[in-house]
Amino acid sequence: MLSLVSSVYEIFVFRKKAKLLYNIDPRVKMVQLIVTLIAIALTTNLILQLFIMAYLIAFTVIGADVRRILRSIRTILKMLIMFYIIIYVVNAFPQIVNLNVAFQSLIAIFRFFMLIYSFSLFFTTTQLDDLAQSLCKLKVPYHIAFTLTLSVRFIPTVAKDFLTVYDSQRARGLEMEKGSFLKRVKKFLALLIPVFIVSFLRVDRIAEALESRAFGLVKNRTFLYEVKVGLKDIIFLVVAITPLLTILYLQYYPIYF
Amino acid sequence: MGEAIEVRNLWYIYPNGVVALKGINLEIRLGEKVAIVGPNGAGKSTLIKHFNGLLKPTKGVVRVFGVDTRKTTVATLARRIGIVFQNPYHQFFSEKVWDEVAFALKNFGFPEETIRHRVTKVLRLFDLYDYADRSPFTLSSGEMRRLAMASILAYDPDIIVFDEPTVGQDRFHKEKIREYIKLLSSQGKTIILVTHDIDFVVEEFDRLIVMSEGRIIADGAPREILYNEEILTKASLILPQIPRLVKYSEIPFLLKHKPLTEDELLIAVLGILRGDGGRC
Ligand SMILES: Nc1ncnc2c1ncn2[C@@H]1O[C@H](COP(=O)(O)OP(=O)(O)OP(=O)(O)O)[C@@H](O)[C@H]1O
Ligand SMILES: [Mg+2]
Repeated sequence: MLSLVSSVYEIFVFRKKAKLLYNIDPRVKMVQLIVTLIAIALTTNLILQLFIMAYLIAFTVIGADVRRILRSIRTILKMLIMFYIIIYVVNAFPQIVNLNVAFQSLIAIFRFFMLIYSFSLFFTTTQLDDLAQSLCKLKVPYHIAFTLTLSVRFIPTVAKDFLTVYDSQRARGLEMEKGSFLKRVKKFLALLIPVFIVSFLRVDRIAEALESRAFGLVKNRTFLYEVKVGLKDIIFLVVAITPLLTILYLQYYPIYF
Repeated sequence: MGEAIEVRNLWYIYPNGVVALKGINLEIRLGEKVAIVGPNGAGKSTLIKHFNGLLKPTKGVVRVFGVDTRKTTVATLARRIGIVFQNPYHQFFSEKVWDEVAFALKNFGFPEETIRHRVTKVLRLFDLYDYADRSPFTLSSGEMRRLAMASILAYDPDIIVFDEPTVGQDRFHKEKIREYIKLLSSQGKTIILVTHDIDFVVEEFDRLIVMSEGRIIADGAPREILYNEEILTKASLILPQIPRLVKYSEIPFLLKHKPLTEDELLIAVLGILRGDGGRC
């Protein structure tokens, strides 16, 4: 469970790299993400789903930090194996072996995997400040854009808090793996409460620090680096969207050979 | 025997690829008082987390009381080695100061009577007894740090590791922590202290380990290391006050010893005036 918490970091955190996806306007990538999500949601045909997967892999290889994404995939998979077992057991119950359910659950998990993968591809290649700026340009009020990006920004921080708390309590002899269910719930509180408190304190501190630096004083805030949609972005958009639209088209107007 | 902690060629790489420890070799004997210093990010906290198994070596071995940390649980190790962490916020969850101190004792299954006795004693020792019924979160940050210490010391581990205990403590309480470390040491406890506070080390510790970029770059008597500018520069430390004073004065040529504290310097200077070469 805890290695999973720490791995949230790997899945979502941006680290600068000089590759294609990192230089594409966030708005364009947002459109790509949304169309990808729609494609994942609407395709029921396994072959088409495999095509989406191939599409994602192609973009990873062309435009992202492959090693980074591989680490991310590893952690997503670990997480999903657990989900898979749960889904399988719930659906197959009371049977032990049910190949049909095993296959169906696999497909469900596969879609879920692509979903997280797309988000991971988006967030690992997008600087949050640029994202906030793009949202602003789409007429989202700055304080909302800022809050949104800030919450994404803090997912890994809270995950890290959780680990630190866990370490502190283990150092005092807390054993999560032992005891009855009720006892474990109680033990879990020893982790949850400090995480909440640290988070709340942080929110307080950040609010004070932001206000002391005149956050929200002017409506039209300026940005240090302006994001702009250029020719490169438009070409990217066309190239990125076409395969997805084709897949969607094939979903509804299938070609039979 | 006598070996409390033994570290052999320890490498540690965090999941994100940061190589935090690069081949650490270290032995800490029972009853020793060891200080670990080094710049931010040197790997000090990473190293001490190996001592109770919170982190397991990527490569190499860590043995605590002869037991390989990979072959036992954190709880088992924690019973004999207590780590007081840097940030107290990360551990408090009880409604009362009292319960916070009793937490570890309950985890280790001490009898009720012992718990009551120990908690009272340790709260008194840390000037926290009057706060027993208060919420830990209403304490000042210095008090919280002391509470974090109390919550570990209550169960009486054999090795005690402090990660920067003197940060944010006023002079009086820093002095108290120093006294407390002295007391623990006189009881035969092994003390490991991670700190940036060189002056604190100077007076109490007979062994100093300097870390930099995941390696140990010096391990020995503070008296030698704190006069070694090359090592100190590598560790981004500045020459402590007394060595600096000695260096920039004419005294070093007259001294047979290297004074570290004000008292030692005073004795040395008086010695020079008396004409016997300033033996400490
Ligand atoms: N949970 C973590 N995940 C990834 N890297 C980490 C983690 N914790 C520490 N590091 C990295 O490992 C290195 C050593 O960190 P460590 O916390 O051991 O340093 P330290 O010597 O205790 O520093 P300080 O004096 O600031 O407490 C640093 O480069 C740090 O960025
Ligand atoms: Mg540290």
